Parts: sequence; C-alpha cells; structure tokens
Amino acid sequence: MKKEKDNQKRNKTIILAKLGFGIFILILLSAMFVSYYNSYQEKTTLQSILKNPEKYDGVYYQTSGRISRTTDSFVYILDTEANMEIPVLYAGHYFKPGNNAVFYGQMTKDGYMIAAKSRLQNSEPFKYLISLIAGVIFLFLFFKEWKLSWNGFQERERDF
Amino acid sequence: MPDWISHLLFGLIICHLLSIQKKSLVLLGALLPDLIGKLKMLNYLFPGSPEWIIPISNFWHTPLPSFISVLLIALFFSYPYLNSVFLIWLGDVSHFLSDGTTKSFLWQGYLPLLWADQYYFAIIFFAITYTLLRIFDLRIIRDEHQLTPN
Repeated sequence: MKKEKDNQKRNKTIILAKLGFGIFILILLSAMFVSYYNSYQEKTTLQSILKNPEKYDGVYYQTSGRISRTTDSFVYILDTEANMEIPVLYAGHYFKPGNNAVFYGQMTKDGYMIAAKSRLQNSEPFKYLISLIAGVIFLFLFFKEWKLSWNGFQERERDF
Repeated sequence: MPDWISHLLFGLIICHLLSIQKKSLVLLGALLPDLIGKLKMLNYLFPGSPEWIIPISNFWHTPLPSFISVLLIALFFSYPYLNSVFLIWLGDVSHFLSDGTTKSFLWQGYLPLLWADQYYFAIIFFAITYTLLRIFDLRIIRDEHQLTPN
C-alpha cells in the first residue's frame, strides 16, 4: 500500500517535472521565433521585393515554381513558397506553361527579374507525392513500435 | 531537399550501422524538420495563407530550433528521456546532412551533389546502400544494448 502511494507520488513528480520542462522549452522556442521573425522582416523575400521593387533594383534572387503563362519575352512563374506570380525576362522558348522551373536573376525597379540562370524541374511535384507515401510508411513503422496512451507514447512489445 | 523516402532510408541506414532498436525515433527525427518546415507549401494549396507561415516554416527547418523541438517531443515518450532525445536528434542530424547535398543557384550545401528535382538519385543510392548493408550485415556497433537501455 505504501509502495503504491510512493509510486503514485513519484509519477506525479515526474509529470510535473516534464510539464515544467515542456513549458520552459515552449517559452524558449517562442522567444527564439520572435527574434527570428524580427530579423526575417529585414530579409529579402519575394513579398518585400514585389511590395517595394525600387528598393531591390539590382538584387539577385531565386524563384521556383510552376510557370503560369509565357509571352515572347516573359515567363510568369508562380513562386511555390510565396504563392506570388513573378515576371521573368527570358530570351528563349524553352519553358512552357505548366512546366516547373527555377530561375535566378537580377531584380529590376519595375518588379520583374532578368533571368541569368534557369533550370527545368518538371519532376519536382512528383517528389511531394512520393513524400506523402513515405509519410504513410513512417506512420505504419512508428505505430508498430509505439502506442498512444494518456501517458504519452508507450512501447509496444514487438519491434520491426 | 531530398524527398521523405530518402530521409527515411538514410535514417534506416544509421539505425542499421549503429544497431539501434528503436528505429522509429530516428525516423521521426529524420522527418521532423520537414513536418512543420513544409507548412509553407500550404500557401500553394490555399492561396492567401497568412504571411507568418513562411518564417515559421523556415525557422523550424534550422538546426537549433529543430534540436530544441526534439527536447520537447522526447517528453511525450514513455522511454528514457536522454535516449529518446539522442535517437530523435540523430535522425534530425541525418535530415540536415542529406539536405546539405542539395544544389541551388542561390546557395550551395556542404556537399552540393543533386538538384532538388534529382531526388530519385538519392532514393536509388540510399536504397542500394541499405540493401547491401543488410545483405552483408555491415555495422559500426554490433551490440544493440550500447544505444538502448536495459
């Protein structure tokens, strides 16, 4: 009986210690993120470039994503990360709408990029599909070793 | 950035070489930086997502915040804490090592070998390596108990 009480007390102490430590880590992560976010505001991003193109005249930038449309001299690329369309001055007819590509070049005060280097990346979207399959495989392997309970993840007997 | 199959295979290679019993912890670490780090892809699926999604994704996909999140996640396992931290962190390191092989116009990884769209070379390489290691049973550490608690 006494042993059981001792065990319960010990378990409570462990849970409280874990909770305290978890809160401490969360606060630490939040503080780090705030600091990162403040420095991010000064970074060159597609949003900042397209908001104020004059400020970024001559800056080199890289964008990648799906080509939404093309004209004789421009390729319009939908930046995957920022989900913003950016016009790229590109002399050539290599890229077609629907292609995935990456462009590196100099920004102009008029808000378009002059392509210096480019690369076709058509197999890129398939990578995300493959990664989804890998995610399912991971979940299968993970729950083969662990089961979820009120005390967190508990070990299962069998290993793979 | 390699795909998740490559990350998983690299994690499995590490588990095999070091005879790690709790493979899933290493594999969790191997995918961890991308779990939140790829939130920014939501922008692509749901146009008009909030602007903070990109910085939070980029923040998570860096070694120090990723390591601190390992300290947090390890608390959720009923398993010796330091062992969980070590195993998840090992996977986390493997993630950044394999990401460092990605080529880009803007920056070069520590070993720029493949473009982001050439991920299939990484899958083939890791799959062959893992198969050979298993067939010939090549390991750095043989004793499973050196890295797992009794």
